[in-house]
Amino acid sequence: MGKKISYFSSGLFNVSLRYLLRNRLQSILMLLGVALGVTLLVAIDLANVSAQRSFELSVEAVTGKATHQLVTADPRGIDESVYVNLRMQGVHVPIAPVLLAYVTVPRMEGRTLQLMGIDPIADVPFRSYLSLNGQVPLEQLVLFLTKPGAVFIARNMADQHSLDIGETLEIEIGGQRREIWIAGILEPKDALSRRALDGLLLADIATAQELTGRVGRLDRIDLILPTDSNLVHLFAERLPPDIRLEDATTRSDSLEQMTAAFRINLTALSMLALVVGLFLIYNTMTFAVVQRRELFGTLRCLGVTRREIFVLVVGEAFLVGILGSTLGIISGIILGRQTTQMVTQTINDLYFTTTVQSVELPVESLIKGVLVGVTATMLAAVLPAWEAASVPPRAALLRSGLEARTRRKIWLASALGIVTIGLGIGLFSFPAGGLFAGFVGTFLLVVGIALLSALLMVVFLQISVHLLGGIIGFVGRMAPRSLINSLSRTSVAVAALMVAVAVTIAVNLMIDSFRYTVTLWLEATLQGDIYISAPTLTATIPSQPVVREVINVVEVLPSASRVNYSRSITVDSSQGAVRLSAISNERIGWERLFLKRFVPLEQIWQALQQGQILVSEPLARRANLLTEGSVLRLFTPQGWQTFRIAGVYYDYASSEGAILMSMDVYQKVWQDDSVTAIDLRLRPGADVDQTVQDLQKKLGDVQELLIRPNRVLRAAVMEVFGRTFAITTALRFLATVVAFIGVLNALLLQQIERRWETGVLQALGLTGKQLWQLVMLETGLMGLSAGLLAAPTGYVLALVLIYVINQRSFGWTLQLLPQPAAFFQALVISLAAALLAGLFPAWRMNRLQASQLIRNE
Amino acid sequence: MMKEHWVTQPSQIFLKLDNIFKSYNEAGRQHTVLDGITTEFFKSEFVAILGKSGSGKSTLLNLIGSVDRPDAGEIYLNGEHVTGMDDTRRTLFRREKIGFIFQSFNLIPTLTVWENIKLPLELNKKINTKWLKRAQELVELVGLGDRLQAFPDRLSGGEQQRVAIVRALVHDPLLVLADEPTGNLDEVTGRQIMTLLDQMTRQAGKNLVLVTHSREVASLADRNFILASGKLRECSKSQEC
Repeated sequence: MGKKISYFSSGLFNVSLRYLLRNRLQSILMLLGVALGVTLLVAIDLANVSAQRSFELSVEAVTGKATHQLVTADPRGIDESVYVNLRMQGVHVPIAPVLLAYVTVPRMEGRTLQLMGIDPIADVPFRSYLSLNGQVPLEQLVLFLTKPGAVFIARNMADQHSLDIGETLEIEIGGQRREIWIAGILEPKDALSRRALDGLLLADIATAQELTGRVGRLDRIDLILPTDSNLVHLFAERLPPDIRLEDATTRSDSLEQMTAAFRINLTALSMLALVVGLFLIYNTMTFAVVQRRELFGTLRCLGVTRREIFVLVVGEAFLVGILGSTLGIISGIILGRQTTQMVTQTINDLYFTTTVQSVELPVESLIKGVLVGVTATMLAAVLPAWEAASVPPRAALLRSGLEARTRRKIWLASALGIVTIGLGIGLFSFPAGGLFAGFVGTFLLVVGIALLSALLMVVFLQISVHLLGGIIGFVGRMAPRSLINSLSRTSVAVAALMVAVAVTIAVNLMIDSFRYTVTLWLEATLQGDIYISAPTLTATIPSQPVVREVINVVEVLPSASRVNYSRSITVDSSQGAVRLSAISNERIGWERLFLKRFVPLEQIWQALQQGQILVSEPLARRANLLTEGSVLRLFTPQGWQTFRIAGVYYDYASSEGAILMSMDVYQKVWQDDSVTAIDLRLRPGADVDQTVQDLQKKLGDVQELLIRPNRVLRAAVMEVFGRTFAITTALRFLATVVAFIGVLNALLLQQIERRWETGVLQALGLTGKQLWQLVMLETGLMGLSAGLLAAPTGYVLALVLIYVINQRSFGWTLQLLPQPAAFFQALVISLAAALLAGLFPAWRMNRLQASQLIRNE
Repeated sequence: MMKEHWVTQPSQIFLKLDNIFKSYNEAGRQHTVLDGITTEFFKSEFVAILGKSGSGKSTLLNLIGSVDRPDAGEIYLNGEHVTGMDDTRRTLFRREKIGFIFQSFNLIPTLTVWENIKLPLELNKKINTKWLKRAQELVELVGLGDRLQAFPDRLSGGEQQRVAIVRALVHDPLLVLADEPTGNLDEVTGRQIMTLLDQMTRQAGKNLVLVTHSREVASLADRNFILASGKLRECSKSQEC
């Protein structure tokens, strides 16, 4: 014919648009499906990106243009003399000392800020806050250098908290109260510097040393080295053994990696809502096609090509995708404020402190939301569009023919489901595939079970025909039969509900198992009666030393039968930064749960005293230290040293890894006798609360301390645990809401389609009560099918989450807490969702008169 | 008895069916609907095909209209080998050369009368003054000038069928296929519709193939055929077909 096929004519566009406008309820449900999915995706992405960006800004603020940094293995910091020597040696590259500390400000509602001590002269090539400004008046600079406690703050912070030059502020550093004095207010020119400076207190290095009580010490020395690897190498060779030269990005990269698994897990969970939303879109689009089979047949007769029909349906999906995604983005931004707070809180609890509070709305998250929303909607519409394009131009294919074909396809879908499940399980058996393979495997498993669900649903409904027929009679037989006869849509709705409920059950089981595991772990690990430590900004492990006077008091406490000390620091290992805890507890072997032991239990302490170490499960898994004879290299003040592994213990305090070492060995190698936590074992009969009160009285003036009885500390740990899973719970709930809308959608569509049939039934004498019965039975059966399938599926998914996803994400082994109630829960959720969804259609059908229903048809 | 002008103008063959077979699988059994049909229709001819329900009339119409393919045999329409075309080419051929009228009207419910009528013009990229004027004239001819903005569900059956006739003719097709066009209409309306259809097709020099079980409708045609037991047989209008 030589004629070009047009992809779309305005007439066809009208056909689509009018259909969407006429069937408003359907269109709204489709929009909701997309919008809810995108909302969660955007909200989580905003939280993730904001948390990451605020971390990057915090790092940028303190790293500046430094290419390398000198760091030490000494927990007290670098001796200032190292910096002085480098200066004296005439090093011809820019170098600058830095001291960092987190402080909290009571007047700012306990907000955490970063105190950064710098040498304003040496710092010029590194950070632009003072130099570029040029507007810092000389007298302010003089005060900054000379007045004790003098700091500069940024304009943002000053405005936010109504602070002005000359004001004093009380701050808390490691349990000690100090006063700072505002010497000047920095006015960064660009938005980026403004945000980077948000949360920073800039002080002269000597002031910072005084405020932190670390006179003569530095955290690091920044350098700008040319990109000549030889020079870097030569520079590194001339350093003392306890000092190491590292790339400036190394530390921030490893911190970022730490939270990567956490962020990926959140993203995966947010994708779940979108997947459930996709079922909804697919369901509605399929219905929209089924409903218009005759119309498509007519269009085909009029000469509309298959491709044009395909484009027509996908075009509708595009329109819905764009509108739904736009709505999703708006609600995502609103929800994002909550999720950002939750994610930042969890990161602060578990990983590190971020001080930057406001970050700009990341445009990429919004673009991502629209792209994913539109693409997903169009993908969900591909199959229905294909179905529409396959409508023969005769317009005579009966609906019953389509349903018969659907029933035949069930076998194919089930076979495909089994293959998909097999592929998913296959992926789990490749540990090398990591977290990504874990998620792909989980996705395949869910899709496989969803594909299989139609067959299982038919089996269940066939049984119901006989059972309900016997009990209720005509309506009892009719309800399951009608579901079987409209399988092309009911099966998708049931699959969607099943997936959402199964995931809810799985996440519930996983969280309960996690809580159970943590409780067991706390029981074994926290055996002290009273714990003493200085307040810290991260919730899990104390890192601020307690002062000597505190030790002097507890050592002679009459009610104490034993006192154990520990010192926690972050050390560099061959596997990156890890948390090292030096302990004096000789009974440690009995107070940890071991995954692997390479020495007998009673010889653990002896092994530690001889220089061996215990490593936590996440570290052992990551570094492959699960075999006897494994060793780990640590950077010590004497350079790199190798430590033999005596055992691997379960630990749920950190996912990056932890090491236990004997206090004696630590003090010998690190030359550090500080203590960060004390646990007291009281004599039998001693009053724990009374002892805590006594200690608080005695130590109140010495140092601000957390003196907590065992049960309070446990409760605090469980509170952090609860906070960590708050966002998971919220996401899980929203996924169920999407699934609920899916069932409502399917039921409404089914009722709309069966208006004529219902009218005839009413005309034949079906009472309003019987109509209610019919609709509620149908929805109930759908819910029951979904629930019956969701219970075992949820269990399988829980196993995957516990033994694959969690282990690959964080390296934790959780103890599965079997809960038969989960089955019941699955049934109740599904049934409740389905019955609730059935109320509206039943009410709607009852309102219409038979004559109306028949005439409308 | 064949009408004289068809005999005298054998070179004006418009449609040729050559040994057409079509069967359906029904509950595992092959049911032959068309059993080796061979025939020729001539230019500007109005042909009526009669037959009992289920005799295969609509199947034959669908094959002629290229909406379906025969199991065997060839169809030539206006010299073009329709059965040799792929699906897209057949669709484009149908779009341009054929107009369909259905028993149940099959108007697009979401489009107004005017939009339904314009649809073939849009598909054929014929939206310009000339074609729109033609559409307007046809609308006036069928007496629907005041119902253009109405939606199909607001029209009576006769009105809907008149819209369908205009829609089938608006893009000036070579062949109009009508499947029981009066089947859903009362006697009087049916007669009006047939008069209109005859006027707008045969009298306008177009080909019309009509499937019906009504002898009265068939009597308007130039030639009548009867389809029975898969065979197509021409019969005189005066004879019992």
